Amino acid sequence: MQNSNQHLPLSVNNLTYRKNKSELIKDLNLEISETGSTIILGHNGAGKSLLLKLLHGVINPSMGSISWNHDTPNSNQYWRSFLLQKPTFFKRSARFNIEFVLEIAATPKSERKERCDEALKICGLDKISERSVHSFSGGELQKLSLARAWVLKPAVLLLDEPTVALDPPFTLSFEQIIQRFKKSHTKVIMTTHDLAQAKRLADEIVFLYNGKVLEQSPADVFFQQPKSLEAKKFISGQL
Amino acid sequence: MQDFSGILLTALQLIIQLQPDLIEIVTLSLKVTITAVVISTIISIPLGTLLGSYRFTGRDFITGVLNAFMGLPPVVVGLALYLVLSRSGPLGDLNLLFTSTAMIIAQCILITPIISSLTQQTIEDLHNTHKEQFKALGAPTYLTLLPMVRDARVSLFTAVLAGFGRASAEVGAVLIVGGNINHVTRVMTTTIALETSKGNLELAMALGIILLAISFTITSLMIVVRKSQTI
Repeated sequence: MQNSNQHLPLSVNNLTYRKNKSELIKDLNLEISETGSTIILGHNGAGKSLLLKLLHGVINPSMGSISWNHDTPNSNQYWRSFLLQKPTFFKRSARFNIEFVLEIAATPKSERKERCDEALKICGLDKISERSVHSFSGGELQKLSLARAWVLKPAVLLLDEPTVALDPPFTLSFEQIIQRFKKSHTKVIMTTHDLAQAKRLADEIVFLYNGKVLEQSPADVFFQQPKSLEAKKFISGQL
Repeated sequence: MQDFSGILLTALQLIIQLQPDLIEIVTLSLKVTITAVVISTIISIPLGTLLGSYRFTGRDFITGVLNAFMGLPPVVVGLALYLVLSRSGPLGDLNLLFTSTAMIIAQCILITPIISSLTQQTIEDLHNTHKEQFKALGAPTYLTLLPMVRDARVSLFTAVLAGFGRASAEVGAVLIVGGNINHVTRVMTTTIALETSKGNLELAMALGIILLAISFTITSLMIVVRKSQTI
């Protein structure tokens, strides 16, 4: 994997995103270091997905700045991978979809097969690599999305509620792959609704409320002693 | 006037006996139409794909022109092309008037907007489906074109078949620029018009049956291809 130290810390300053005259992200400030994994929690409409899209450069902020160790985000930076909540694929084989990513990143042709095989194996798709994604289940598609990320050996992995539609066994195997990313020194930044999943994966929690960061703290501190009333309500399931 | 069953029977006999005149007309018709469809497809698929994938100045204008040309009256196309290809016209020196080439050009003008517009719509829908994913992957548009065309191949094939159906049924434009000359530019539709006016209904009916069979074959092919995509 690429070295995340090169691209972190991530600094977000006075970030604002407006759409149709409403402010969906409001004057948001955030600093994320290279250590551990960061889970972004928040209620529906808190701005979690938007924040990830802004961090990856899929959309541009209305105001404020984002800096990956002094680099402005744009989605052509292949040291960073972003898994959408609803990924899409070409109606081709799993292998084609992974090799397409390597083609985008201009990876030398001689390396492509080996890297593709590795990604397919890590994500448990090696036995169905030639099958059309047309016949893949939701869980297999999310794993393919992870394989598409793995193949780039990213320094930073952004995931937008990737297990929201998966059953427990698929969620578990998906989390095991995320743990492999962590072990390979990939910085994981993920949004989720699932508190149990956040406890399993998070080293640090960023709690968003109505487009603002209300809390940022180590995971154990957040779950044991949340500072804000909103975070307490969120943890107790009232928000 | 003969009764309908008598005409139908004679028409079927002409088909079964593979009557040489009939075969010649059908062969020329298919040659003209298939050539026009191939040329039009070579122009329309790339054009529609570019219009469906890229945003550029003038795109809306080109789209508007293509959409407007989808409903072009064939006789107007025939007349315009006649003026261009006639001896005193700008392309008169090419001596194309009353040749099968002129008929191919007329059919191309009529079906290119149809295939292009259908391709554009298909690719645009597909591009919108993948838009956010392409951005997340950092995929430049030019790399996504071929895989998108491949994914959309069934819909694009249907667009080509729609063009084929339109071209094979064309009469007005090909009659004007082809001249309906026996053994040279006489195709199914123009022969049906001529033979009906002469009262030679058997040959007209035989060609009508073949034209209908082609139309049914195209429709069936569209259904089969569509079904194969949904399975």
